[in-house]
Amino acid sequence: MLIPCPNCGPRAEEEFAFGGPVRELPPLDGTADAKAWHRALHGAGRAGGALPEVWYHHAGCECWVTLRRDLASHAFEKAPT
Amino acid sequence: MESREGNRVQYSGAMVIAKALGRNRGWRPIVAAREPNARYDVVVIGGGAHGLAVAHYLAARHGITNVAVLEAGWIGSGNTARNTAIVRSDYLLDASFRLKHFALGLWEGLAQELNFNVMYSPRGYVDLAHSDGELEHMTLRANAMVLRGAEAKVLDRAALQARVPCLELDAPSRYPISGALVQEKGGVVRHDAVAWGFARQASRQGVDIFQNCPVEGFEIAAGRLQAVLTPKGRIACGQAVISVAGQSAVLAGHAGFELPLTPVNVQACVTEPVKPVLDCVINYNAGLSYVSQTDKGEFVLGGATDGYGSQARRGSFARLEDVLARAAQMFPFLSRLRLMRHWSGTADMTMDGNAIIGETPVAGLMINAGWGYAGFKATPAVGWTLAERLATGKSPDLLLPFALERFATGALIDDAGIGPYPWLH
Ligand SMILES: Cc1cc2nc3c(=O)[nH]c(=O)nc-3n(C[C@H](O)[C@H](O)[C@H](O)COP(=O)(O)OP(=O)(O)OC[C@H]3O[C@@H](n4cnc5c(N)ncnc54)[C@H](O)[C@@H]3O)c2cc1C
Ligand SMILES: [Zn+2]
Repeated sequence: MLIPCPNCGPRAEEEFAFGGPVRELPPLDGTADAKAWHRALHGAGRAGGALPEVWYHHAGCECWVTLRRDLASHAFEKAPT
Repeated sequence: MESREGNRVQYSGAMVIAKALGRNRGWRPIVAAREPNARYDVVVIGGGAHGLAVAHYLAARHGITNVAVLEAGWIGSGNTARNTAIVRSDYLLDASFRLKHFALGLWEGLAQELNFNVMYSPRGYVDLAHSDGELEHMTLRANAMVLRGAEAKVLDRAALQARVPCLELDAPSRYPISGALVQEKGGVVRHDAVAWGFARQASRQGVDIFQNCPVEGFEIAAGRLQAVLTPKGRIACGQAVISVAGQSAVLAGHAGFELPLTPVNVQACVTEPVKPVLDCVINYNAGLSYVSQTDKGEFVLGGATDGYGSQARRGSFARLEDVLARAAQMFPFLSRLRLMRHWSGTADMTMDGNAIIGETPVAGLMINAGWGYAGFKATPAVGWTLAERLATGKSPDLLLPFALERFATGALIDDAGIGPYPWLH
């Protein structure tokens, strides 16, 4: 799989560490209840189709990048920013 | 239309010889082709080893035979036939250990029970430690196992070399080996035979098994399951179980709920056959690479997940290279062998790396999912306990910790202590 790093261009998957689907975490100020945390940590729509995910490009720009990828075809789209 | 009659025959050594002399003509199909009834007491969705085991134990232990198994492809075509066939119970956490240890007991008698040779081979599972700290942790695991009544041994380097003479301990390796945890009752079981054995026995007891029959939707009224929808039409049911491994999230989606899991890809491969040299299953823990040698002489190799979410059933070359490199650290001679076959399966990995078994938000609909790349070893225990849940309406103690609610209540069963990162489990 070639991962299109927005900073470095297409690079081999071995150059990256996978950080998982983008998770919208509740604020850390104690206002969110257990249910909100459960939804944020354990949910996040994995039924298929293109998902926004984060990758760490350790052998390149050393940045976390957000990309959308189709889990079945591994086709990437650029994430809307 | 095939009747079930031919299936009543009892297999035996004499029969195998007689059929061989008759040029193997006259074997009857294991699964009879027929049309589905309008209604079943229980519909099992997914004809993998797990689903077929549920059907068998429903009939054998509870006399419930108005049961249909609906399989999208052919029975055992999913992860059942893709796994590396390893069975063991050397788990640290109580819930994980107990279910798999119960399974290990059932594997021992399964060939007799099913009248089908499933080739359970308790050849020993050797889990390597690569540091003193890791060996201490394995000692903790071994002690926990022994306290719960299982057998386990911790080997130092000398004892390990005696147990596995062909293991390379002294090469200038990146990850030195400091010892191992061994469970001699661990080993391998012939995975296809498990699917066929359960299917045949279920069918003999009156269960209907339909292949090429995917469930495409559910009919739910007032929160209760009414029927499943298939290309063979609407099939009404009292209860149903989703047991579709890599497709779990899709089926849950049809029923209108979400599962806390990510599908990941897991690979395995086999080499050309050579003379016997390795008599156990061995697991390299710095990274992951597990190796065993089949009775035919092939080496079977497997490793970690590809490291990211995937529904592709197409392996990452980087992972394959990694698995082979680690295997060659243990057994340098492997580098001279050619690979014969290589394949992938979609593993349904949950947020704590453990299975989800029991009720769903839809009344009458059960789930058995989230086994990732560790569920084959639990097959008979899943069948036994889930059948009991369906028949009695009460979850046996072995199942209670695996309820779907545990993610909301925080009672996770995270053996590896990794957290909600399925691709790392
Ligand atoms: C490469 C690899 C190696 C593994 N190694 C091991 C190991 O060494 N030890 C171990 O314990 N575990 C191992 N596992 C895990 C183990 O294989 C699984 O946990 C286990 O097989 C899952 O049980 P199953 O029999 O229900 O799955 P499956 O055999 O996948 O059965 C599910 C069935 O559901 C069917 N299905 C899907 N969608 C539908 C639908 N809509 N309607 C009807 N049917 C449907 C599929 O066609 C499939 O046949 C491994 C997995 C992989 C991929
Ligand atoms: Zn980059």
